[in-house]
Amino acid sequence: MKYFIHFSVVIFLILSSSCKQQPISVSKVTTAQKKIDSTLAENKAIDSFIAPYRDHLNKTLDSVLCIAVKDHTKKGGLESTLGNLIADISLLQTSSVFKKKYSKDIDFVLLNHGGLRAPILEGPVTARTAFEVMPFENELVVAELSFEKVKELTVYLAQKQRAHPISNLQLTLDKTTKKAKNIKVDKKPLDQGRSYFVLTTDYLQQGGDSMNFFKDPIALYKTDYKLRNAMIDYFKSVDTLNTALDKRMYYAE
Amino acid sequence: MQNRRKFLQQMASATAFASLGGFGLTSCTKSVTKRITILHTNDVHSQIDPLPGNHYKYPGLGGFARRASIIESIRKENPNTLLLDAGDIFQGTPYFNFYGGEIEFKLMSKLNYDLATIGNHDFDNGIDGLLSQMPNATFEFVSANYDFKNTVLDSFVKPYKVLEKDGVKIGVFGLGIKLEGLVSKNLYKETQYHDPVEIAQDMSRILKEEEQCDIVICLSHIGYDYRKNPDKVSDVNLAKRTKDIDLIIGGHTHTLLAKPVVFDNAVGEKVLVNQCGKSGVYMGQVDFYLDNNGDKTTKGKTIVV
Repeated sequence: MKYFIHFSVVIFLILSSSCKQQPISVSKVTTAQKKIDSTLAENKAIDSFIAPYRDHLNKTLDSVLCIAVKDHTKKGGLESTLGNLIADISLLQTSSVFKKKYSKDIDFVLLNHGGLRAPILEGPVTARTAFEVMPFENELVVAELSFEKVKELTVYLAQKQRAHPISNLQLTLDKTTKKAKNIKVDKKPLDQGRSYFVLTTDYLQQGGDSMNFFKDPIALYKTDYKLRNAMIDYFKSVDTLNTALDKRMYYAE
Repeated sequence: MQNRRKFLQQMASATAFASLGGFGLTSCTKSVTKRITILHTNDVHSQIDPLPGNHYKYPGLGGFARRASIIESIRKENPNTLLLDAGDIFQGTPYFNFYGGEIEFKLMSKLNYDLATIGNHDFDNGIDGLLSQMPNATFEFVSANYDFKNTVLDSFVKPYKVLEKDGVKIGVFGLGIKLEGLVSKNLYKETQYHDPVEIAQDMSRILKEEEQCDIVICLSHIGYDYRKNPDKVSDVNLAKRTKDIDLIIGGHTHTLLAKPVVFDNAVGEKVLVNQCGKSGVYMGQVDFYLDNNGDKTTKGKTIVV
């Protein structure tokens, strides 16, 4: 009853004051970027939910496969130590299998700069490293490209001027005209009369990073070999990683 | 924090008392003030644990367990809080390769995320891979410019969602990036992409005029801006070419803004754009204060960044 009286008084006041309630609207906005660092306590329930997943992962991922004697990163102009390493690994790990299966040689490799997601830092290299560099499930494929498509590929590289990883391919780029010169495959100039077997990933072959020259190859050969697994197999087969820049793609003087 | 809360509560009741007393005399002065807190992440990329201490850019930052703590304390201080994610939840650590996104969705559910939009990497296990993780998500997905009607995701993703907190209507719509050339067609299948600006103009009209929202938020995975290609559709271009959007929460370009950026929209009103890097290294917080003290279009709202 008490509430009822109170309520009716309020209603009366609202009616008698002939006051229309204004709609609400935003009058002020404040912002803050919250840094998620070690000063914040960990929520125990969340952490113990993660724990079994984490333990299973760590067991599988953290055994040392080889040692990087220096940092391999994406830094640099038209080539990078990380890009060179991964392109070389792809070629090395795939060429003998490819030769055995199809009796053909892979001519060169083209991957994409954006696909390498983390550096390989000086120190122990594990399967985890391979997952960080190459988290995607991309498989290596070989596209047989016509001479014209290979020319298109070099035009792409010259236009983009990005350190897309290459192996067994050499070229110089003119910074201002954005043209490629001195193009060599296996140290030999491009031959107009033949096609080329280019190793790449299924992602790029299907038009990823707008590498459209890969789209309709003369022939396409699957390897059923994931780029990440190629890396892990290579890491297991060597003691150290130490790849240098070697001017495989650079600006003309 | 507790003391401050108590103090604020006391302040609030004192004000209520005062305004009740003076109600009959000053008629129209009864003021209502509300506060809505928006928390947001983007491009978390399966970063479940903090980044390693030797990370080249963000050593030791991020991690779900820490984020859970700060979200909990912010919610305690203001229960009228929304938690949003701007896409690319998947891909980046072996957690995704091993468990296919299960742990990401389960953790986001435990943290009580309200909504997320879909980033290009959320297609990395195919549209079927994304669908198969949907039962692990208690939060919902919004995307207005991806049309999923000829895909298995049809009915799992809404163009927008209107959420209500403390009587305040908050409209949130999602935007995704062009998939062609970025994601293999065999992954996104028959998902149709539409121009984000046109869709955003439709969405803001629907949310502001038809749904009568008090706050309109765009959850975007189209990227902050593209220096080499400034005309490419981006959050910056979107902000300038639309109206009636209060906040654009961005993703995709992994842009870490020192603070949110204010732009003039198509009709000269202020719109806020924010993005918080990647991997959950930062979480954005935007607090909207609303009142009924009349028309803000004459004096404009105050944005403190």
